Amino acid sequence: MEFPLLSLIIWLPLVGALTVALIPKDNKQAIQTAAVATTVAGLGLGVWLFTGFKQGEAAMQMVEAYEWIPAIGARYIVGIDGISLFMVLLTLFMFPIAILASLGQIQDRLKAYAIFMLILESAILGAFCALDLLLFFFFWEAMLVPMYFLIAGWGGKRRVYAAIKFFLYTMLGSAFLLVAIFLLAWMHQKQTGSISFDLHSLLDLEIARSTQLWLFIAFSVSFAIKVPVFPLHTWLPDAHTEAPTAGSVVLAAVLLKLGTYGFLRYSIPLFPKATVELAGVLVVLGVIGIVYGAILCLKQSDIKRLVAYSSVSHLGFVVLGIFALTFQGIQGGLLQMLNHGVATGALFLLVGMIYERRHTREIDEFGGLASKMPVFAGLFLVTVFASIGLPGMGGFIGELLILAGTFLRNPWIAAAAATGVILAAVYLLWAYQRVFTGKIDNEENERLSDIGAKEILVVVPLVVLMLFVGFFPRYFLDRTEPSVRQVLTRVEEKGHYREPEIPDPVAAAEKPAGGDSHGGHGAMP
Amino acid sequence: MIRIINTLQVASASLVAAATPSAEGVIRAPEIDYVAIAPEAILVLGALAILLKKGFVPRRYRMMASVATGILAICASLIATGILWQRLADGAAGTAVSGILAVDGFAVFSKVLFLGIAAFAILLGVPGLRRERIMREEYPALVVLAAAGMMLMAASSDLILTFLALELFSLAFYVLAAFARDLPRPQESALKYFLLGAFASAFFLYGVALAYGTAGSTNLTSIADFLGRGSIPWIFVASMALILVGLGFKVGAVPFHMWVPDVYQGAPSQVVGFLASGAKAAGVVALLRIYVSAFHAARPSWLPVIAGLSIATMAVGVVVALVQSDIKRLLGYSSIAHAGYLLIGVAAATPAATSASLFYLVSYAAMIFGAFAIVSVVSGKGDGFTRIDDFAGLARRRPMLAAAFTVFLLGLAGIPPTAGFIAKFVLFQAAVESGLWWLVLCGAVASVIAAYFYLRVIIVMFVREPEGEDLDSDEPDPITSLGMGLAIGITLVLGIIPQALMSVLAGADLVMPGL
Repeated sequence: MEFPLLSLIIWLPLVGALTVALIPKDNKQAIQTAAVATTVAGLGLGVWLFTGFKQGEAAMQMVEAYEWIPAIGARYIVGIDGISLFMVLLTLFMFPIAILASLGQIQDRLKAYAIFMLILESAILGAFCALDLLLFFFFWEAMLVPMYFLIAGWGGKRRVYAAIKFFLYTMLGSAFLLVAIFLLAWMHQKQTGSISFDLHSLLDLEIARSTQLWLFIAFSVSFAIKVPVFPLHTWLPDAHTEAPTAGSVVLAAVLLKLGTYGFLRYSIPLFPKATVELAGVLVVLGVIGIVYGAILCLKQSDIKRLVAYSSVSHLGFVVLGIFALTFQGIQGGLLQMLNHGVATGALFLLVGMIYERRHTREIDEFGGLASKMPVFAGLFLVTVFASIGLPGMGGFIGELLILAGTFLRNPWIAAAAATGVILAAVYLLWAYQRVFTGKIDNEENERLSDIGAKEILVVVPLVVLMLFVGFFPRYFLDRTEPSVRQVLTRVEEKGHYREPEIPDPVAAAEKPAGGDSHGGHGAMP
Repeated sequence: MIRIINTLQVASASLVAAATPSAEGVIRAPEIDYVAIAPEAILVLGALAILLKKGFVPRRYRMMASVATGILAICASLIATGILWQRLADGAAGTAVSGILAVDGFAVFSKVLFLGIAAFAILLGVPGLRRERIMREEYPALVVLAAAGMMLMAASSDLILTFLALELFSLAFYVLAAFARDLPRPQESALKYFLLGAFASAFFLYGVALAYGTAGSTNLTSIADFLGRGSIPWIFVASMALILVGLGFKVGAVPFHMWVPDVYQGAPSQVVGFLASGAKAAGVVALLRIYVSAFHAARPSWLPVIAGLSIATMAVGVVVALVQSDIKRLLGYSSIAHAGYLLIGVAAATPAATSASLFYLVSYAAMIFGAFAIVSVVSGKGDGFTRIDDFAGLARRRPMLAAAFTVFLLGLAGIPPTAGFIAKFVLFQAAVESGLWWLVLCGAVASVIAAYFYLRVIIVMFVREPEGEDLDSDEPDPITSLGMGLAIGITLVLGIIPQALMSVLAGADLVMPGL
């Protein structure tokens, strides 16, 4: 038997949570040490996972399969492929940062806080690795509870409202997901004689077109709420704004990705016919999300809320890329999931730092901070650049791929989406200008001091990662490529779909009227 | 009241031993299978011993002796059930005592469930009632009598015996509901429970009479044969409806639910856990035995009714619970919603749904017992503090109690990793397999609404600051803590590794005649 690395990664934070539970609550030092040590050890395992990952393989790797509840056919199956690898790594990367950032910030009920954070990490990792639908649903629902407590227990003024709204929205989506999972398992029983929630065997089902449509909708509503896709996004600004800094970081960086991940892992491969038919709807919703989210950002006076709405816009890009159903689009979507996680995570951290000092997030209260806090302003600017997607940053590659992939399918949609890039520059730079540039006109800001070494230490790894992705995107794209290819091939085979081909400029020049293109099919630019 | 139960018990015991008229019209004593009736018989004897020992045991030891006798009776009954189970494993399923008592996996498993519930009732009830200073020697007797009645509900294969079992456990509960007899509210709610309950029993009996009139027998096997032969007369449909009223009252299904919030609020919290788990489970197992098994051929007639009841029950339960300000009423409405989920299992009417329902009952019993144990501790003397606001800041005052309550509430909401999640999952899965996906969708949506009011309580415990003076009464004693710990253990173990119980359920061969 292989070493159960994935299980170790999933359950290590839970063990950490149990360890923290045994420490007396007054021993804050020990609690902090245990929480940090657990997450850092998890990151170490993540490095091991990354080196052990076989590049160029489309199939699931490091699969572990055990019986869990044989009576209902549920099994414990975990594994990763190119699609989930970076989501797992992102989770392992963001949690130590989120926990480090909350040291000192969280004084009240530190023990409970650490326990909830660690349980949350376990649940998220489990959801990314699960390959059995019941197991996935188990983790999917389980993560609601710690997140709910983090928002409700350590959040802002309207935390109770935000926490309940978050919980109910997600749970409503889960209700549809649950029924759809049952129907799949039931169909498996009718077609093969045994009940199963195993994703691998469910992929072999023959599902009629109309059934696919319903099931696709049920799955996608649930994922769309998590992403969130317009018009199901209204929980997000509240939850993100009211959550404590680390909670917002985890929400934005990791939790939202579960929705887009769900599309790629479940909705699209399980229901290829429905995907081809309904992709257009999601593409349009994605574009609306991009533009609508961006416009709302322009109107925000609270900087944390602005960052929250920017997530709606950025994840619109990811949804657009995925449902463009082109190789470039999906690759870009995956990369953008990573970029958004890092950049928005960093933005929330930075906003949290300024809030710690001034206890306000109103943009109008600030102005001219760059003179008092040069390091902070610099880090903020780099992060803003990454979020906008300036060349040299990961966001540039991601958005470029998404737009290229969308262009192949429909140039007009791509053009509409591109306005989102411009608007992102407008709202983020405008916010930066109002907060950091000019003269200090508010007395309270005179007393501000720059961020300390510890805070810099928390943000710098994220900045490094943004630049790294920007300069070496192949490092990521090469690993995701086979899995993305596999998803698309499946859609083409089962959904009677042809991926739009990249027109060959040479051929197009020779035969301008024919339009007969045989270009490098899906080759990377 | 005690005397009534006593008399009734004797009557019921004698019925078990009574003769049924044979074909020739000569009364012949049936063969009594003592092993088959042992689990209930032991409980009844135990109850009698508790009630009679008054004259023999010195006053000082009476309380201890009656509790000990109760525990002893439950243990002995459990052993007898074990022997029965062993016999079942050797392949001797069937009926006993001229066909009125079923001996099958379903019956035997239910017996274990009810014995467990009774054990919890003593474990959590005795220290709680002592704390309230309303503990009486009769409490263990009533608990074991109720257990005997509930066990007979599951095992009865004859509508007359079902009726007697129903009355047996109901009478015990009427008394238990009035246990805090010096306070006005318990008195009122107990009287309400008693009157409405008697009314519902009359409906049930009327239904039995009509069934006898059409099918020519009250025996479930004979009725199943009768229904299997062809068309179903409308009078029989009326009979099914009336029986459903009687049982619907016991499980607290809408529109027969009016008593639930009042009784849950009025009765002592220590007793409500027993009532909520026991009476509901007894009603559900009887529904499964009668509708799913015996009336299976008539499913097209009763399915729309039970499905409709289920939807109405879930809807009313979760919606009305949203506006409750009293924790006991809230749990009352939540238990109504759970009755709705359980009716989904009845509507599905497959072996898988039956075993899922039993799984659900086990998990639900653990969670509701635990929840009411905490309410009884926090609410203090005379259930004085049962507003949800009284739970404000519990997480600071008593972190362990708040954590435990959170586990139970999340379990009731059906969120992993608790038993409530797996229970709902297997139940819904079984229902989808019998084509009731629309009912499951209603159930899933109801769960979302339900999550809101459970969360509201959790919020109050964790986020709100405590109001007024700290109550110092809310320190649980060791035995109550042990009981809560057990309930948490069951809730979490069944939520993470449910396979053990599920394989027992699968191995128990729950297929009843008719399925």
